[in-house]
Amino acid sequence: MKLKQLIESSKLQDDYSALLDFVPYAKFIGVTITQDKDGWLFTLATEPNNIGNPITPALHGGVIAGFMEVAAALGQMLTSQHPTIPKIINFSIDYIRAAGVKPTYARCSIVRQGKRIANITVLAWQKDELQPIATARAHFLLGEEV
Amino acid sequence: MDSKELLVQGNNFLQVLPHCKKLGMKVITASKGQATIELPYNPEILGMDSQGYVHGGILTTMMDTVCGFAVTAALPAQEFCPTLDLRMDHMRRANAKGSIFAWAQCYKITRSICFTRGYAYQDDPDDPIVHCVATFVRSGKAWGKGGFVKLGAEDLLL
Repeated sequence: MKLKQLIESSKLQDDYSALLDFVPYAKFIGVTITQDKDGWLFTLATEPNNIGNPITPALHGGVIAGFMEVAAALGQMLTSQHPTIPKIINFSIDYIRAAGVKPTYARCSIVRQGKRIANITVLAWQKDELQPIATARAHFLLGEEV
Repeated sequence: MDSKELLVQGNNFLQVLPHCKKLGMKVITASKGQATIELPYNPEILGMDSQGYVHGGILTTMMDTVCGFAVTAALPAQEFCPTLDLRMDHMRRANAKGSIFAWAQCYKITRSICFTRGYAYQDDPDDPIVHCVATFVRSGKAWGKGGFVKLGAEDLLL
């Protein structure tokens, strides 16, 4: 199935498992996608293998960053009229609060989608969306429509 | 601590971090304020297009880990230093056909902040996959018996 069809059928059925199968890393860390009144909601499951610091304990900062990069890329693909496979140019993350070993959520907003480059911000939180654990910004290079 | 001790300490450190252990990361070089880690190939860490590229999140995980260890290798005590921020610049994609290496250096330490920089590469260190800068916050505390304990003045000096 072409990627564009895969995205369309995922949206129609409100089931994103086939889309996530397309991204081995997203499955590796345990990402799922749902849709609510505010848009796409990305969830990172509580997974012991995602722990970075076992003492505090806290999620690995790199897993939080990876989760937010997955959210940015898939959020861009789901939102775009002409989905392409976005290629990461750069990614910048600010860690705001300690991330406990519990479900983590993320939402992204497409700040600008140009012909070649997309600018996307991502917010991640655990208990309360108004108390984020991290914010991130990503630039993606957009390729040929697929 | 000399390089040999730092290498042992680094590998013990990665063994107790569940995510690093799961990925099979190893410290292969370590010296004062510097380190290199190796990540073996694993098909589970691929990115989107199934064309055999490693996901950017894995590279960020490697850089966060190696920059964090470079901080540990620069400080006098095992001070707890969480990541404040981190930026990745992707020069090109990483082929999923062999190890990835990540090198980092802690190039400046103040009373509050540790500044690090590094890059990741596959075959040639002069042709990096990513460049990274990251800063870490000094907590002035270390993990001891019964919880975090405040470090003494001698452990906070450089």
